[in-house]
Amino acid sequence: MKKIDYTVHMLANGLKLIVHEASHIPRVNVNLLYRVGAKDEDPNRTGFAHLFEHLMFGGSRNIPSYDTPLQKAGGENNAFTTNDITNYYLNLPAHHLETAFWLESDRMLELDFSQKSLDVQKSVVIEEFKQRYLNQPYGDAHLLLRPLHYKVHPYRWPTIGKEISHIEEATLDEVVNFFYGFYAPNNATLVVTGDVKTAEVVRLAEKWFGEIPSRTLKKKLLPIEPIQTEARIETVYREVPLAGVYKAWHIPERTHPDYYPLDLITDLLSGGRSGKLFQYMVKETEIAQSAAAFSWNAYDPGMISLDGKVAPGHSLEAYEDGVRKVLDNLMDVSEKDLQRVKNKAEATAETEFTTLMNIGLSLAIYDSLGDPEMVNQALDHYLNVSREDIHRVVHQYLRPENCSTLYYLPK
Amino acid sequence: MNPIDRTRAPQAGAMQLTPFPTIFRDTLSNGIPIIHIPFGREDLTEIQVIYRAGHSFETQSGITQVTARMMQEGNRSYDSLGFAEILDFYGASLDIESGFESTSFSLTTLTRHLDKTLELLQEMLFHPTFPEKEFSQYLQRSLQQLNVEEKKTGYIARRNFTRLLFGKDHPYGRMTGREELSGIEHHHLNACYHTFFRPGPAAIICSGSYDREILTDNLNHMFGKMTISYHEPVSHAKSLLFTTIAGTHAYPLAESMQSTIRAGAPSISRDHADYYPLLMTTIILGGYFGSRLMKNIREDKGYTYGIGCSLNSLRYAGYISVGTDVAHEFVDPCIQEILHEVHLIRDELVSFEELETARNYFLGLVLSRRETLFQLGETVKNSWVNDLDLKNLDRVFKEISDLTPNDIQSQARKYLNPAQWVWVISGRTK
Repeated sequence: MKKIDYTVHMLANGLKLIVHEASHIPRVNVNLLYRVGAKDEDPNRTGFAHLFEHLMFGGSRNIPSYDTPLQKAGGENNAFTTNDITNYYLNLPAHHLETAFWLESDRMLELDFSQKSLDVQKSVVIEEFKQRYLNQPYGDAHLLLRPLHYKVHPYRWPTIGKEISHIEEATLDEVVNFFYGFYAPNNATLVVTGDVKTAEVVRLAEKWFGEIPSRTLKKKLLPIEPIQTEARIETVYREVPLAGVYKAWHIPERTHPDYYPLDLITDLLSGGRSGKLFQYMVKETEIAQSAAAFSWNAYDPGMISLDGKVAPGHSLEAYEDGVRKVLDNLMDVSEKDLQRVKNKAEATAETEFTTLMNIGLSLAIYDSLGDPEMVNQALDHYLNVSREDIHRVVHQYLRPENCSTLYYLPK
Repeated sequence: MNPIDRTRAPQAGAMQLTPFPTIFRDTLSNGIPIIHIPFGREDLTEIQVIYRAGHSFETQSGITQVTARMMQEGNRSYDSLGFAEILDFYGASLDIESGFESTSFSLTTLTRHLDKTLELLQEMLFHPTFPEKEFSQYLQRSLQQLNVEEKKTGYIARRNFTRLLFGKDHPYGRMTGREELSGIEHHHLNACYHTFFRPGPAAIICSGSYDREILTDNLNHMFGKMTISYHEPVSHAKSLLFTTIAGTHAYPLAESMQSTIRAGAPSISRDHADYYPLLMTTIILGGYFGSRLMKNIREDKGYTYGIGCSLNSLRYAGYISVGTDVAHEFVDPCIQEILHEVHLIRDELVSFEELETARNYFLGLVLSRRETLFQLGETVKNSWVNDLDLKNLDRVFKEISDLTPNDIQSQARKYLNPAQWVWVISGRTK
């Protein structure tokens, strides 16, 4: 894979700027990442970081509408909130680069805090809560799995929030405090990717962001999740056609060397139709209607989750035995199977970096994890994983006493 | 240094309308057209093998989609697992899409493995075995999955909406659901394969960083020698008339927390002269974040997480669709606001400024969709499927640059008549 070249510049106020020049299309991607997420919330105001993301589109000190000027410039934008970060991005024609600086710097300077905007966005977010989680069969399964898996770390609640009342009760004062506590140049990384000249980008960054003062951040030290010592099980009953089984194991944070073999394990289990879970659980034994594993690349210790639905006529025990067997077999993974998921990882990386947007986002995320150069190193870490590594991490992490299970059963 | 003026947008020149990359056309020795889109810095190639097959041509609903999917489940050289494993081993992926007027098999591969993966594609296309066990498992899984889908207000709304627009006897009115899947038997697969796939593809579209001469030679070797028993199949979407059942239709779902609203009417086909003017009209109404429906119903009223209006133009007809998910108590006020916005765009001229914003937004979107080999391949495929002129892939620029507020109003008056719409509400029980 071709190396991604970039330069890093630090502004006096603490804003970090990363620039990657690419001229295959006359467009530019501007990605602004704030190091604030749901984990920074008050446990009685969960969902706030995400609600705040919505308010960022309600106008800023000098610009009443964020979207209209951007759309007029032929651009589009969006944002997302995770448990760790809040990320804003714009894609626009390269000659309109300065429009992006104008828009993003004004809302970093100061939002137009308005009660009307807060009231409307609370309502929008509550509808989003219902649409995504509550109005879908099995939609709240992961909302229930989290507090089983985490007992003290704030990852125990999802970005949408623990409950609707937390969103309903948010006040304008809290919005203002959140802004000044987390939205600051010294808590952000700005990545510009596309048909641009680095010197010009640096000049524009100084011009538009240079005068924004650094702020005192309200980052708290987060509690460390204690080591789980016995299997946890919870059962709920809902209006669903099939029994759902949701399992989660504790794994280390994204920057830990074991993350790479663990992530490859999820590819071995469910990367494409050759995945071991699909082949054994769904096709060979027909115990499951579906089964797939995911690793969560969290900034603090995360999880591998395994979501499945039991086929009619099969028991939860049969499902559990099947999963155990697939996991045990991983300890003796063949060289060919391992090579296959590595090749797939290589092709995926090649495909992923065909867009400016993915390059910009990756640089921003890796920077916030500690080092943007991970963008060029991650693939090698995957390619260096050995069969012994796989054996070791399955043994070490995918143990029953390190696992939480939610049974989501038909009423 | 002078203080900067933050109240005004920075100056910028006019939008640069970069042309679509040059495409090249070849023909295999037996007449199959090849379209090449040389592109990219990455070691990637995509091959889309396209057949005139799909919903519009089949006599048994859903059979083409199922047959196409089952083609990857075993062939002369590999069983289902073996085939999946070897494709994955080369880092390749296969995407099978069966729509109304076409079915395509898209292979994405690292260019350095193109020869090997093309052979795999050939095995699948020419020698599928349709193992009975794979078929019965697939059918059973799909039916189980439908048990879940049928509890979603969105699924219920979508399925009934298309049926009410076109009628269940018209290809555009049928979504493959429980009834259709249950009617498919194993022996139907082979028959479908021999009718639609065995006679050979209708076109092949290649994009990426490959050597054009070598690839054309390879394709000639694979596809050029077969005797083409190809004659254009008849699209039932072209020949059949459809009936629309306008009015409000409710589908209660007791355990739902929100209702899905779908509203709209049949509309023009993709090659219609009004396509771009009407598309711009629907964009202004509900096609982007700054659209009227979003600004009013989400950003002002907060009734919903999202609402949109789209023009879905197919080969022989199309439909306009407004869709959203809202709390049950917002259903009626939301419908009132949709009606209000549709009447407004019919009754009053849009401002030049609003038109300009929507136009630039859309041009930006068109240009941004020319970034990857996959997007370019998709654009060419859509043009080919809809029989549009491949020599003029930039026609969009000219088509929308001269539009005026009067054009938008006359489009709205001609095509947006909510009194004649189908309104589907799924969820609310009262």
